[in-house]
Amino acid sequence: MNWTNYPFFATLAAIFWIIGLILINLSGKQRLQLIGKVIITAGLGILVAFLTILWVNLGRPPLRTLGETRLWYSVFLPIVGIITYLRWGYKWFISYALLLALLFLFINYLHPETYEKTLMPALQSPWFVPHVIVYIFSYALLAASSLVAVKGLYELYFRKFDVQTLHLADNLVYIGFSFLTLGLLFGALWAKEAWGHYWTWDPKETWAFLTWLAYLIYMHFRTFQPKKTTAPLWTLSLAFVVLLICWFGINYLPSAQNSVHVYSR
Amino acid sequence: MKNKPVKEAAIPAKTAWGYAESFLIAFEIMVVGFILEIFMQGRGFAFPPMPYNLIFLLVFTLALVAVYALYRNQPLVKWLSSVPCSVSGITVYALLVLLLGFIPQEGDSRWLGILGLNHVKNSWPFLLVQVYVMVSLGFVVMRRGFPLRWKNFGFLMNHFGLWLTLLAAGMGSSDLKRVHIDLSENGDFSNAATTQDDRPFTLPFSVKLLDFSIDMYDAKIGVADAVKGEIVEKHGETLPVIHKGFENKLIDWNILVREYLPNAIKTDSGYVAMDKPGTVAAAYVSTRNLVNGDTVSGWISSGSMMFEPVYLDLGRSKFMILTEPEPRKFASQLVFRGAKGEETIQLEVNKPHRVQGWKLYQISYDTQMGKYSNTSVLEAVRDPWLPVVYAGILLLLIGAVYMFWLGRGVRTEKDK
Repeated sequence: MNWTNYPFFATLAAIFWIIGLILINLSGKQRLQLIGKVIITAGLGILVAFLTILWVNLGRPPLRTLGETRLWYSVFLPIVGIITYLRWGYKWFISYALLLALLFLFINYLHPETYEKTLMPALQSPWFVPHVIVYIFSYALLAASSLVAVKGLYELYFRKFDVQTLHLADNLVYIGFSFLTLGLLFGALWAKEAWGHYWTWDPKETWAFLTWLAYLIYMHFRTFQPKKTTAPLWTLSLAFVVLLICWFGINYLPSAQNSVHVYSR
Repeated sequence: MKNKPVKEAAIPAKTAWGYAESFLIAFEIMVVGFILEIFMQGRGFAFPPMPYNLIFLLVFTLALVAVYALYRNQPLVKWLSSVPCSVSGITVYALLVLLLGFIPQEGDSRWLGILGLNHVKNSWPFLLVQVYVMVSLGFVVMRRGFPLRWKNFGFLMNHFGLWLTLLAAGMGSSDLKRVHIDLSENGDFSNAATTQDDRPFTLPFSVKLLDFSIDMYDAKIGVADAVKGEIVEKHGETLPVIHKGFENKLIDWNILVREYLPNAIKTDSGYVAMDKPGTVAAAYVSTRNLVNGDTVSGWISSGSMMFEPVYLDLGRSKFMILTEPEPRKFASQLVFRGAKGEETIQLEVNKPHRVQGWKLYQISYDTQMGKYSNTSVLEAVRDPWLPVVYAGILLLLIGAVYMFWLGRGVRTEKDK
């Protein structure tokens, strides 16, 4: 078994996932939703089987090529998506996770020349995929919490404010923040293995830390002043701006031009 | 999941000082820090190395515990372990980190220097605010930590984990040693290294480079726009790796690589394969413009220390170029001679090696010589506080997973 078998396994997994997503999103019945969850997990199992046999046949962990990296994304995204969905029930989350996973499966399918295309040495690490995956999820959750905050502000100024909105935002922030923390720490642990130090105040690291602090401030404020609504809604919206600067903005900052995280050619 | 009744998180005891006072105090502490920095003429602050940092750590921790044990019901201590105090501390800390994020941390600017703004992480304001945060964090841990209860598990993992990590990282920075070692193949044992600010450093061991090996990718081909000075991108197809016989569509051209020589030199009649320093990657390509049918053929090559790169003019300021091959893997085989004798080590990127309290990393090589480099650049790192940092990080990881699982503790309607 090697990459030539990939299209078969990927297509099978994709079919399972699409059926599962349709069942979960469009059906109201508990029983069909359960079947949907089972089918999605089965689809994941197919990919895990492919990955395992590939690993055995390659004789080394499949962590060196671009194609292999994408395969891990297609496996980890659903794993975290399924666990989070089972725990918290957010349909949009599992849909997001699976759609992204399908995207990676598809990109891999379109570019078979990348199966052997190896990454630069510093990226050939088992920390690479987990670090990126948890950040993908954390950003999705924190973006969702900001959307909820904006909705809350709209309710506050133009309609009647519903406190459940803020509770939803809180829950999303908590889960998103836990992923954010994992991402920050995975990055530090990887840095120690690859570069010699876990924290060098690289612009991306600094802004990632700032993002972490911004949401930290929000969570602590909510603990002490649970009855206040305007301040936390604005704080949450502002925190998202910090996140966006960290994600995209640093490429434009003069202090950041020599960073390892600036993804330019 | 059953819907539990909505439960607000336990509100900490109210204190006489609220947000206004907390922010004022935090801000004042930062200002005092800046005043100190100016007073010290921008010299900044650096933690002393062992054993002084360890002594400070012990004294600081004991003092915190003692003050808490004796005075925990006093208003001052109550305030220091309150949320307004923490929020003010985190906010002012974030403000300083913001400066760190915006201002380039180097250079000799006079007024930036005197305020400590071009060395924020070693400045007095940063130190004082960190101490403020660490005191508050320490008290908070003790408040929720005694008596020990399972329901505070997540809280303690996160807060004590952070306290430990910040303390160890801060203290440890003065004992951290990161030095570069330049070695040549067939050189002798060497214990010479250079620090990050280019000062000589003598290692407590010596190393000898037996062999440096490097494995290169093949070159990539692309279309460059001479007017814009960049590689042309179109639907993601930009720089494919080539081989002899490579045939594909690239941007607006169909290309066929008739010949590919990963190591070649330029002669009067084209390129000839040769394997020695200074060679370039070269390819003979035939192109056909898909828009106007023009065909152009010729040699292209990457550049090296001996030859300029060669491009193929495709017309209208577009050129076909060949990139310099990139490294796939590079590694050093070394002999290490230390207190316990000699051993042979293989070092690769992402695969460091632990020896005698130090960790050796493969960092770089002579990039001018490229694949013919017979020098290797290593980094040796000594970080005695690392186990403490790792312990703190472990607690934070556990805390994060705990947070993921429990969420905010408030149930909302499940279907979103």
